[in-house]
Amino acid sequence: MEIKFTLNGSSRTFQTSEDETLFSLLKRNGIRSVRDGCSGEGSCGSCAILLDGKLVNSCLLKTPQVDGKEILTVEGLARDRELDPVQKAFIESGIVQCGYCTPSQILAVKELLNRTQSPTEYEVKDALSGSLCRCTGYQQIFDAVASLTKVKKSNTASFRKDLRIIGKYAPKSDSEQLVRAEAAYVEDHVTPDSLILKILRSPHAHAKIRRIDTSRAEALKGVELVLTHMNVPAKRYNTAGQGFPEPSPYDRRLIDDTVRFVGDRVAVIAAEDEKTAYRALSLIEVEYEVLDAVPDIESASAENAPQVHTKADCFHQFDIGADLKKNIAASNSGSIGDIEKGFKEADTVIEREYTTSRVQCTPVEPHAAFTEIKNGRLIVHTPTQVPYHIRRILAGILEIPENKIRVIKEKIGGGFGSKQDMVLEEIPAWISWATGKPAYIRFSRQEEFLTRPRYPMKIKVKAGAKKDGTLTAVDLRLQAAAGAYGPHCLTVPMNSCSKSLPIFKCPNMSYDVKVYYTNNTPSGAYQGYGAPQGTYALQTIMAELASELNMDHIDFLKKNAVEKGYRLEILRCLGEGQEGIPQEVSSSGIHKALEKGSKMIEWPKKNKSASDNILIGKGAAIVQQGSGLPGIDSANAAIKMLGDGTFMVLFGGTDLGTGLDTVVAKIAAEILCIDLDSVSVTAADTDTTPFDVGSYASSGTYFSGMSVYRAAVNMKQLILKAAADITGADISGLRLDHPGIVRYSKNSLKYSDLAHKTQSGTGSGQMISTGSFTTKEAPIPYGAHFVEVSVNKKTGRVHINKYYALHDCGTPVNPLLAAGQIYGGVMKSIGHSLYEDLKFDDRGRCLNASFTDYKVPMIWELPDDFQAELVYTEDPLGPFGAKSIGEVVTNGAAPALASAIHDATGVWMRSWPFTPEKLLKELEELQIC
Amino acid sequence: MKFLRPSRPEEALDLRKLNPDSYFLAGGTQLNSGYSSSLNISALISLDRLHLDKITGENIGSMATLEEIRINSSMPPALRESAAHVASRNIRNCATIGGNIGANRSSSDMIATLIAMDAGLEYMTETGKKHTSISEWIKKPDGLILSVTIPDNKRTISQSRFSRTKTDVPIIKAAAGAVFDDSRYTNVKIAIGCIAEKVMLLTGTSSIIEGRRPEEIDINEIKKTAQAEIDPINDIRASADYRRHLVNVFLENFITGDNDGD
Repeated sequence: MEIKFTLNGSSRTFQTSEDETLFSLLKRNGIRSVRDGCSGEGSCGSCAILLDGKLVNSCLLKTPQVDGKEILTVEGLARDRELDPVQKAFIESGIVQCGYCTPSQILAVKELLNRTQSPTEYEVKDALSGSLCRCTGYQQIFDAVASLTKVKKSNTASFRKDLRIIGKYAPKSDSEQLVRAEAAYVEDHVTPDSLILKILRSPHAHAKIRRIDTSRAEALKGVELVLTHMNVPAKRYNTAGQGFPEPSPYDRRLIDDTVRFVGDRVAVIAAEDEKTAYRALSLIEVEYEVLDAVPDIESASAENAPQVHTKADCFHQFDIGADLKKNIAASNSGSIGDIEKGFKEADTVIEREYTTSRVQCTPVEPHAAFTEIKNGRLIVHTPTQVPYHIRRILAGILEIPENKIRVIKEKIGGGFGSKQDMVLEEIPAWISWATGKPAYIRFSRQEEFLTRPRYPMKIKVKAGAKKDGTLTAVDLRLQAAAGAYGPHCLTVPMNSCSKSLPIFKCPNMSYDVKVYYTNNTPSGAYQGYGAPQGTYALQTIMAELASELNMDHIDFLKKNAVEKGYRLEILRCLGEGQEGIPQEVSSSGIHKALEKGSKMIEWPKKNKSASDNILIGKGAAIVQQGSGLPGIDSANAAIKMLGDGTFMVLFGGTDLGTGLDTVVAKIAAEILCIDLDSVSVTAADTDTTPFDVGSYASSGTYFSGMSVYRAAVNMKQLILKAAADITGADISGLRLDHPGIVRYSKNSLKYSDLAHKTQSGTGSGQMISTGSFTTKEAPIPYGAHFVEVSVNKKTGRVHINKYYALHDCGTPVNPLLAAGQIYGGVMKSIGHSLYEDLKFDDRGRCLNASFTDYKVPMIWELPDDFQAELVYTEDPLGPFGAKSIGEVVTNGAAPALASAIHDATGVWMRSWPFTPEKLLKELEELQIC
Repeated sequence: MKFLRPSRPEEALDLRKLNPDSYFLAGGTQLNSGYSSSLNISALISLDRLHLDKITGENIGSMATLEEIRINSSMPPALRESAAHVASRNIRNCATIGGNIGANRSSSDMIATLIAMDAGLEYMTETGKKHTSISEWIKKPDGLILSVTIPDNKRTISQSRFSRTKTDVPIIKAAAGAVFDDSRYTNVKIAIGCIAEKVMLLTGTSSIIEGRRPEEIDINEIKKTAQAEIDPINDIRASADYRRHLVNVFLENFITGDNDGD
C-alpha cells in the first residue's frame, strides 16, 4: 500500500504494508535516529518521534496510522551545519554519553519547550518519562533545560588553574555526530546484501542433543547456511575479553552438542532476510535427552550433583582453582597478618551474610555485529569494548593469523562491561569466512537479558573491632554462580575482595572465594565488576559493627579508612590468577569526601517526618575501585603531526560513550600547547591504531591516557629537536607555547611551518611519536556516598530524598563528563539496590526478560536531591594526576541505602534488591508496622 | 494482516463481523506492542476516523488520549490522576481511554478508578447503542465503546497505585468511591486491579460500608471481608501475601482518609 506523510518538512510518499511499524518504515528510509532498545515493546522510548507535535514511540504505530500526518525526527532539526538550540544545550550540558537514546531525549525536550517555556521539575520528568537511559542518570537533562529556558548556565566547575585544558569542560568529541544521529553504530553500517542471522536456542537447562535435522530449513528458499554442532569447529575458547593468557576457562564452543542453560545455542540460520531466518528456525527438528540440572549454588555444590562441565570440554591457561567434579569453576583464598589473633584482640566480633541478585547490564543498544570479507580479509564491525581481544579470539577459532582480521569498534550504545566479552562476534565471523558474504546479527531484548548478568553472590563476612572502633580482623567468604560458562569466573569474585578490603587499615584480613558452574545464564562483567557486591557486604557489616559498638558510623569510617602512604599489603594475595602487587596509597580523598558529605547531608541530624507512617534515615558508605590492572594491562598510542601543524592521535582504547577519546585529545592538546580543536582522534581499529587491551577495569583514563601522555611527551621532544635543527638554536633554549608555537630567544616558529619544513622533500620526515604504558602500580579512586531515605512502614517502600556522591578521581580531566558518569553509575546501582532481579522458574527459564517485566530506574526514580561532587586530590601517578571514575561510582548505593534504611527503621537489609515486600517482612518481624 | 479504516461505528462493527480475529485499533500502544505478539491478528480496524475523540462535559469520547484527559482541567481530579498513573508520556500521547478499557487488562490504570467513580459507557452493537456501567461491561465486553460517562454525583474517591518503579505494571491498582451524603457512605464501589485476571469489584466489602457512618465502620471487619473476597496472584512483581497486605493498607487509607504518607 501507499501512504503519504510529511517527514521533517517534506511531503513524502512511501510504499509499505499494513502490518509494518512506523519504526521499520523510517529505518528503511534512512532515518537513523529511531533506535530499537526493547524489541518493539514500547518500553524504552529510543524510537520516539514527534507525530503532529506529540512525542510517541514509532515502534507502537502501524504505518497506515500516520497517513496524512506530520513527523519530525532529529534529522529534521539542524539547518545545514547549524544545530538546533536543544541539540546545542545537550552538548553543553554534558548529557550526551553513548548517544543511543539521545535523539529521542532531544525530541522530548523539544516537545516540552513547545508546550511551556518555564517547565517545572515535574514537567521535565514527565517529558522524559518514556526514555530509558542507562548512561547518564538523567540529572544533567535538567541543566540542559535550564540553559534553554535561561534559568541558569550549565555547570562550569573547573579544576587545576595551572592547566589550560585539563580540568575544564569540553564537549565530547563525538557529541555533534550523536545529536545529529549521523552514522555511528553497527546497525548504521550494515549493507543491504547482508545475511541475517538468527539463533535457535535451547528450551532446556541441561540436555544432550541426540538428533538434529536441519534439512527442511536448509531447503527453504533464501537460506544460505545452517550451523549446528555438526559443522562448526570443535575448538574450545574463552569469551571473556581479558589479557592473554586469560584467567577464564576455555569452556565454550561455537555450538555444542550439549546445552547448559535455557537459551544456549542449538543452531544458527543465515538467511537473506529476517522473515526467512525466523521461518527456517521453526523448521529445525531437535531431539533432546534432558539431563538433570543444577540451577543454583546449593544444587551445584551438593554431593553427586550433575556435572556442568567435564575435563573434555573445559581447559585452563593456568590453575584457577577449578574442580569440575564439584562444579567449582574457580576458587582462591588468601590472607595477611594473623586472622585468629585479630579476632581474639577484638572486643566485638560480628558475622553476617549478604546476598546479591542477578542484575542485567541492559545497554539500550543490544549486542550486534556485522562482518564482511574485503580483499580476502575478515572485517568485523562491533560495539566491543575489547577489539584486540576479539581479533585474537577470532583468529584462534578460525585458525587464521591475526593479520587476516580487522576489528573496528563502532560507537557503543551502552556497554557497561557486557561488551567486554565476545558474546556473538564469532557467529557472523564464521559465516562470512565460510560464505564470503556479509553477515549481520543483533540480539533481541529477550536474548540480551540472557547475556552476562552481574554475578549473583552469597557473601559471609566476619569482622572484629576494639571498643574504640579500631578494626582488628576481617574475614570475607564468598560464593558466586558463574552460570553455564565461566567468563570472568575467577576475576569477578576476586575483584569483590580486591576492591573492597583494601579500603580499611586492618592488619589481619582473609578471604575465600568459590565460584560454581550452574545451569543458568552465564554471568559476566558489569560496571564495578565484583566490587558492588563486595562493597555492599563489607561496608554494610562495618555499619553494623559501628552500630554494635555504639559508635558514629562516620567516625568509625574515618578511623579505619586508609590514607595516603598506607601500604596495601593485602593486594599481594589479591592478583588475578597470579601474585598481586602491593602498593602504597598514592592519594586518597576519602576523609575529605566524608567531611564534605557529612556537611551536605547534615550528618547526624535526624530529620522529622511529616507522617507517622514515614520513617526517615540517613546512611553512608565509602568506596574504592582501581585504575586498570597493573602488571596485566598495557596501552599504546601514536601521534602524527599533519601538514598544517595539527595532530592525529591514534590509540587502541575504546570509548564506551563516556568520553575517553576526548580525554586523550585533551591530554595531547595540553602537552603540545594547542587548542583541543587541533587534535583529532582515531581509536580502537585493529588495522590503524596500536594495541590496547580495551576499556575495562576502569583502565581508560590511566592506561590509555598515559600511553597518549607519553606519545605527546615524545612528540614534544621531536618538535623541539626539529625546531632546533631548522633554526640552529640550542634545544635547551626552546619551549612550546600556545597556540602551537616553538619559542626561542625572541623568535618563534609555528607548528604549521615546522610541519611544512619537516614533511617537504628536504625535511627530516613527518613527525610521528609513539607512547607505551605498562606499570606496577595504579592510582586508586575513592569516594563517599551519603543518602537520606523515607521508608513507608505500611508498605515497605523506600523513597530516596537525598543522594550525594562525592568522588576523588584525582584531577577530573573533563568535570561535567565525570559528573555524568557519577549520576549514571549511581542510578544503575540504585537499580540493583532497590529494583533489579532476574528471576527464573524451576526449569531455568527467565521470567522477566523484557523491559516491561525487568524494571530499571527511569527519570521518575531520581532522588529528590541528587548531587555529584568531585573531590580534588593530587596524585602522582596518572596523566596530570587523573584517576579512574567509571566504575567506582556503582559501589556505594547498596551499602549507603542499607545503612539509611537501618537508621530509619532498625532493619538491616542483607539481600539486594531491597524490595518493599522484603523490607516489610523485616519490619513485621520487628513489629514496626 | 489487513488495516481497515471505517468512517462510521456501524461500519466498524460490520468489518469486525466480516473479519474473524480482527481487533479494533485505538492508539495502538497495546495491540501494536511486541508484548502482544502472541495475538493472531487478521485485521486491525482503526477507529481514528470515527470522530470519537471529543471531551464534552461529563462525556469522554473513547478515542480521547490519556494525556488529553490528564491535562483537561474540567475532568475530575481522580480521573486526571488516574491517567497520569500511566507514567510514560510517550504512551499517554497515544493510548486512549477506550483502548484502555477495551483491552480489559487487570493492570489497567483507568478501569478501577472509573468503577470507583461509578462511570458508565456507551457502546454500539449490531442492535444499536447501549449504556452500561464500566463494572458490568468488563464482565462481558461487547460491541464498540463510543464514550465514557462520568456521573456528576460528587463522589469521594480514593485510589492507590503501587508499583516497583513508576512506569512498571502495578502490583495493585486500587480505587474506592462513594457518595458521602448525610454523613453516610452510599453507592460504595471498591475495585482492585492486578490481583485477578480482570479488575475485581469487591461487592461484599462495598456492601458492608454501604449506608454506614465512618464511626460505625470496623476496619478489621472490612479487611476480613475483603480478604475473603480476594485470591491474589503470585507473580514476578510480588507475592499474593504482599498483594493482600496492600489491599488492607488501601482499605485502611480509604476509611481513615490517610494518604499513606508517600
